[in-house]
Amino acid sequence: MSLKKFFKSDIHKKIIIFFHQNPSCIDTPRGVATWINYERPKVSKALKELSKHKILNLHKSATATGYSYTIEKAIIKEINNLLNNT
Amino acid sequence: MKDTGTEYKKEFLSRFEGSEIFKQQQAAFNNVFGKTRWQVLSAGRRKKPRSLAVFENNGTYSVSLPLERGDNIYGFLLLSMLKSKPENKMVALLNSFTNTIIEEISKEIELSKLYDVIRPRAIALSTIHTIHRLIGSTLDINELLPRIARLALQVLRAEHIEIYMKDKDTSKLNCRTAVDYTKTKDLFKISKKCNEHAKKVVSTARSILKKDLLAVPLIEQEYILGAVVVRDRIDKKNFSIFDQEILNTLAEQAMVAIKNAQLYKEQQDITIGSIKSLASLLDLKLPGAYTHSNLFVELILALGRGMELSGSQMRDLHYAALLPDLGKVFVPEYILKKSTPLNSKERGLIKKHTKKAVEIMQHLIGLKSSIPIILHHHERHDGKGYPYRLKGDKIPVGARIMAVADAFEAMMRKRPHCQRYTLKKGVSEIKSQSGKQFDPSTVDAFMRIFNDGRLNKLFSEYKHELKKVF
Repeated sequence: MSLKKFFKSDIHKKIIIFFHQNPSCIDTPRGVATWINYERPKVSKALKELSKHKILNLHKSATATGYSYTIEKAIIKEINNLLNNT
Repeated sequence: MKDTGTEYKKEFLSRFEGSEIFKQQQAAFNNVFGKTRWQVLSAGRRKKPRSLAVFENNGTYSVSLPLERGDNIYGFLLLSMLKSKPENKMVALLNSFTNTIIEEISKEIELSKLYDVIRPRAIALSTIHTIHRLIGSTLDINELLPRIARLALQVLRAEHIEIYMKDKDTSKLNCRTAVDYTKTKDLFKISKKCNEHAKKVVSTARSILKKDLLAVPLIEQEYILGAVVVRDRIDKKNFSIFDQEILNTLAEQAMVAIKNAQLYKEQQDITIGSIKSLASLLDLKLPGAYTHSNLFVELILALGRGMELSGSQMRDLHYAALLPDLGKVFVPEYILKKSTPLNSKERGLIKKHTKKAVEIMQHLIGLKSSIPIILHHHERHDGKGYPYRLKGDKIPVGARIMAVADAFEAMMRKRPHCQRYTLKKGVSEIKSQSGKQFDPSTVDAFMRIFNDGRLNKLFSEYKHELKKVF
């Protein structure tokens, strides 16, 4: 799925905007679900998809899973452009 | 409106105009006074504004009401173009309504301010908590340090990080992990520069904050155990004192996790040392009868990794691999030394060794989770093994691994009544027993080790141990 397609899904868009506004954040699916006010299972699924497309980074340990914003400048720039145009 | 900043005024107006209560009241007043005009006026610099006023202007009437809460006057609400002079009771009613509106709006503004202040802090706190969970569950120092490095880079939005730790014996500062997101820089040059800063941080116990570099010490109580050096923010901005605070917090968290991992490693070393001592002691009694070769131990660990066992499963496997035949101490020595085939009574005694091992090991708490591996390592995939004739997945994965390694080592080892196999024949024998004596997925892992050359390497390294006859 391309970035533009992710922007057509409300939950994906909200997650991207959340991390774009809080780039230093590392949080669990439960945490992200709280910040964007969505159900946790849906957020978990969307987070997995976004990390698969390198928009988010996945941090996994035996007991916890965390997600953080990409550090790739090109992706951040593209997201910035999309946000400015919507 | 009191001019307390354009943003604030804009927000106030938007909330005031959008307020449902206001809309309802506006409709109610329009019913009474006809179509009227509402304005919000700035409080200006009046020291003592009039609380409420009704005044006439070119044949129309206006009512001015202060927007006040407590001692603060935010502004004035002006109701103008009224065709008749409003009655006092209507003005009082208007005053009461206005007070309700200002009350609601003030609450909204305060909540909004609180949200703006609290939310970023709550997100930061949640980040710290997540990091704590991510690093707290790792007890392997080699896995922990790169994880800390990556998380720190993520939080600080930087490109490069190095973690230095003091060597326990020599006190020399070693770079234990380095991560560079861009992978475009000359790591050697960076390391040289970072190393100098790390040394300085460790010797002075003080952080370094530069435009493009941040270095903080890793302190455990009063001892400085190392340093973290971060370079180059991805947005090319300068590091700030706020970044330094964040890195210090992360370093404190990291130090707790590092200390835990070090203590765990020490405990593991003590356990492994104790088992090895016991093995050496038994080896003196009857060399090779109770212990296995290093090929056996290394092959088991390679199979465990190949089957993607978790850290704790690998630990249990390692402990079990060091002394799987401990229970043979209950078997009379003449049976263990016997060079002719064993009779059924003798075989029966030998078969009891796995249960006997459990009797000894159950008192050692640290080895408890290794017991099932030792107890079941003579079970067979087809259910024809001992002591419980377990089948397939019922056999613990560690025991399935040990069964393959045990059989392979036996074929490779020189024994009085058995001919030693060649490596190729031994591998072929293991393969042929897949799904019969051995678990197919373990055999698959074994074949991968053979096909990529690792088994050959292990065999060459330890074959001298296999020449010993017992």
